[in-house]
Amino acid sequence: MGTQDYTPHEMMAILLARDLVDGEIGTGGVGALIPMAAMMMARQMHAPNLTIGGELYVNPEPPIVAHSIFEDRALRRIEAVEGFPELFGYSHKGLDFFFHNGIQIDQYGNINLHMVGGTFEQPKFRGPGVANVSYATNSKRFYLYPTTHTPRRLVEKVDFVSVAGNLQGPESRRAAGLDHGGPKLCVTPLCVFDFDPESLRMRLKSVHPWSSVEEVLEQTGFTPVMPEKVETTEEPTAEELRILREEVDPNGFLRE
Amino acid sequence: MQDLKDTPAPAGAARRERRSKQVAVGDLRKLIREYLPDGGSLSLGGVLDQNRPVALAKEVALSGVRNLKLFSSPVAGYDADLLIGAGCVAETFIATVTFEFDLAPCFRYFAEQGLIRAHGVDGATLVAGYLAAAEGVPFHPISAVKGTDLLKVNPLLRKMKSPFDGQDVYAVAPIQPDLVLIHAQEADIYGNVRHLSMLPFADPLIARAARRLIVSVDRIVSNDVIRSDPRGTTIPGHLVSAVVQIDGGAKPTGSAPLYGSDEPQLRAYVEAASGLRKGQKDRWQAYFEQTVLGLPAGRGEQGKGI
Repeated sequence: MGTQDYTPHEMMAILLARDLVDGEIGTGGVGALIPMAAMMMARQMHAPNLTIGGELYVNPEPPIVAHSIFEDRALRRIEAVEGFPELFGYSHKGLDFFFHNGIQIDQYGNINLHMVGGTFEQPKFRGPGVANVSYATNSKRFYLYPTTHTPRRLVEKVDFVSVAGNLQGPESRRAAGLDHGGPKLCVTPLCVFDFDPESLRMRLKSVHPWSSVEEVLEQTGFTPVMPEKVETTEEPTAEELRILREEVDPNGFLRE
Repeated sequence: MQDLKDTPAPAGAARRERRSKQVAVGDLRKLIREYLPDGGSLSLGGVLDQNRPVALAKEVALSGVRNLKLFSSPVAGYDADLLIGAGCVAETFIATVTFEFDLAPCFRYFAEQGLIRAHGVDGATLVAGYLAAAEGVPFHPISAVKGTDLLKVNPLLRKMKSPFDGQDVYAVAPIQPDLVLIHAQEADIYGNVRHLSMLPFADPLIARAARRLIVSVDRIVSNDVIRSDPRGTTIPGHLVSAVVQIDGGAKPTGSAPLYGSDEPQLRAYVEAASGLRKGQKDRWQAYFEQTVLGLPAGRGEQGKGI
């Protein structure tokens, strides 16, 4: 790593925050520090009318990320409480955006949270499963945010499709009836991928200042689509870092 | 849910008192055995590490019931994991079993050893099943699982065409658990439940899907308190089979605003149970019996794990 004084997870939260649009609604899932930080960042910066909603609570305030988001201590003050019938509605009607981490994420942005190796009945590794697969299916777009960037996490093909990304490309998406936006960006501790519009495979968009194309390729279990020029990811501004640390993550969870 | 089968009152019948549904902690195991047969279905309220019916789940573990089909709100953790560790569970139908800071150790170990069948179901499937049961209709449709491998492994789904526009949807049959366990902060003796936590999670829905419902609360309040704020009643008493006062009944999970989840305790559990995968079964067994179930040392005949 270089001499930058912020962590890869802080960088990921800031990059995701920049991509959220004022007036949208979305949420981040369970145990999702980076997405929650990104949404709160966006609300404090350029998107004050963004609604954090769709998962039982609406617009937590004051915005401080916490490990246990369903706890009153973390939610502090919220604007509305909703139930599972409402959540069921959002699941089908979709949100503007959602976020997914994964045990495995493949080159088409498919996500595995269930099992690796063996059979489904008796896997070598059993993951936690996934609470909600439908925000990805039905929302306008979703973001992938693998918290580590290794060949075991970013794989050519997932062992199990827990959440559908682009499946095996445009044809398979059509065949499965997937008619929403799908994955937009994959933001990792080393780089940002977007998706090649033809093949719907991951395309290397930019590399973070402390990494390199060589390192990214070495740490990725597939060969991404390579653009003519790979940019260096634009670093966080002093103002972004100040807001993130003072208003969103004063406990420094993203610095751990 | 009414347990009293009564006949119309003859003329001149004596005046009677409204029946209390409050039971003592000591009555729970017998009640659980009455409501929950071996091979029966059990569902747990709360979400993740909040409002989980931990004390009630321990009573289930101590009751010795076996081969359960275990359901929950879509996201479960500690209580589901300890029931699996206790050897009570044959199959799980839960979207996510996890701790926020780590994987659920018994769920993982038992699934990887083939000791439980951990079905791949998503949250929308579970909500649809509870909705169908709560609504009293034969199925509830969902369309949200398109494209995933869950379609191959989710036993609760049946593909069908919408009779209106012909699109593919999936039907989910009612999920009507033999027994539902819920923890909330307050109730009166008639079983009128109030969640003081900001979120009641899936509890009001699952309560309506249950065949039998046992609720533990941190404190019993008067019927006047319930009547002073009827919109605060999250589960009306007629849905409740029994209510029990267990102060701290959700610990080490949280019961806001009374207490938060106890992360050091949850971490200690994960650490001890992770021993299963490392061949340290004795260490896990002792921790489970003494620390989780609170049994005296050396008493292993009940709540026996593996």
